[in-house]
Amino acid sequence: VVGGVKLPMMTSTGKPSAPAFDEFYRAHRIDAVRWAVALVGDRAVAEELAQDALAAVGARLPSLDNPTGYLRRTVVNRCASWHRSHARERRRMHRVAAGEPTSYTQATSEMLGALATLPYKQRAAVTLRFWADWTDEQIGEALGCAPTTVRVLVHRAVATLKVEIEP
Amino acid sequence: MIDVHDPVIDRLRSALDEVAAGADLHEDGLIPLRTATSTAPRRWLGAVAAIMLVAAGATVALVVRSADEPVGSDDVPTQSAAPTATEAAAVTEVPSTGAVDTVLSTEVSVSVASGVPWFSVSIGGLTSGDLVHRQLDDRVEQLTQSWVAGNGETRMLLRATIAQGLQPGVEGDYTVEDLNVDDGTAYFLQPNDNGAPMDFGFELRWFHADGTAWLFRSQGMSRDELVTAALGAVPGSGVPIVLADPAFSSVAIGIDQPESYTQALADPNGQTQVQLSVMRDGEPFDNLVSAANVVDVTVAGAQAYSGQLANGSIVTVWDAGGGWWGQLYIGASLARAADGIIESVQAVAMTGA
Repeated sequence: VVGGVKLPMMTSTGKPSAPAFDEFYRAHRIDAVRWAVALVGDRAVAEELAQDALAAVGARLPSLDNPTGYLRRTVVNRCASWHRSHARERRRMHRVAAGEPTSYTQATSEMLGALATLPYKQRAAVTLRFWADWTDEQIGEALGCAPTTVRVLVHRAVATLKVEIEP
Repeated sequence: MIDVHDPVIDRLRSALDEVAAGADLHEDGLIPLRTATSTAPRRWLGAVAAIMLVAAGATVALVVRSADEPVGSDDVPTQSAAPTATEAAAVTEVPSTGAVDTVLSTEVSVSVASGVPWFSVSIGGLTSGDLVHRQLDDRVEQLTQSWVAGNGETRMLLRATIAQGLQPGVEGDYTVEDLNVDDGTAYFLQPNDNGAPMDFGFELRWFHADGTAWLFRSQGMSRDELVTAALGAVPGSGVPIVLADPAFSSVAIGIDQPESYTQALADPNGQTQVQLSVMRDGEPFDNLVSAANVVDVTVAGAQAYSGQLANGSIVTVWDAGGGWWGQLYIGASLARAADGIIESVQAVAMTGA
């Protein structure tokens, strides 16, 4: 107990060997960060979320039949949780930052703003499909929906982006 | 069929390429977290990033430089996060956009304003950053209200945001239960983690027929306890919401996103590890209700609540007096030292600006 709060404890049960974990980590970290960038649109946050997801997957590595698929789901879910938990903070950011210069080009800022208007599943579907190059099946598995639903999500997302983004 | 070379798709790719361009994408860039064999520096702090989004990205209306020098060894905490009142102030103008939600703050200060409580915290090896004063305009968009019931293991925390104009519905990764209410629509929300419903952090959203939405977040409450408390609530005359259960004491009422002062403490790599804040109107409760468990601690002689967030970081909240609430955020890498860090917090007498 630290600070009056119980700390998470690592147990030996199910814990992967360090070499296996490191190998998995190094093989998938770049992809995980890219996926998270697509889902949150902020590279610093993406790096942290990817890091957390990799650690979570690594802890269960020996028991997973498809660790890459599990990592996809974990990244998608962690990013969804981030959107949910920090929706208010993001709204606050958008308000106070209105009109202020950003570190991105205007075109990128506009696209990030447009992506922020999409429901999370639409955002995930369109960015993972066209930027991260996931298949509809992979997206559907991560989002918990059918590939046909993914195609609907993508279609709606693109339609919204076309409206939001000036040609 | 969507054309993969549609201009909007090209712009999407270009935008995300630009965002990712600054990311650390080298294979050896980061070291895995939580590996027992790893001795390399750890980079982490998802929640710090979230909180720092507010402090760093937003509203730097007043910036006061504080001590930048590195501090003593890890073994001998020597650092004080309290800003000095004699150092020169630098002011960042917030551009006027004509938007309704721009930040309004024009006064220059070298410390927190008169009457605002402030604190110091001693942590060896960390460098205190700028004191950031954030103040939105006076427009009240959403009210908030926080309650506490019970104590110890039976303590329950409840936080409500009262909003207008929201459409009934749920976005996010929740297991959702429709609730039977006579007035409008209500949902009980159980957050999911990797597809499995979590057993804490329950929420309830009640969209009333008149367009008012009550968004409840809870800590330490079961599904039935939350449903009973929230659906038994009625609009108050002097307060936004009155709960039927007298066990709940309303501890803070205010506006969403109130005024705050924040100071971050960073490690030699520039990563924020600790953040000390005072905020008006019980705003820190918004973080506390995200904790899996909350226990009593003492901060600068005041009763405080301390909880651990999902990423291992620790948030501690206390009533600082005068309508202000203190918040100490300790990143996961320092969680094991949290006892000492919390005990080191001291009230600072500030002359004010």
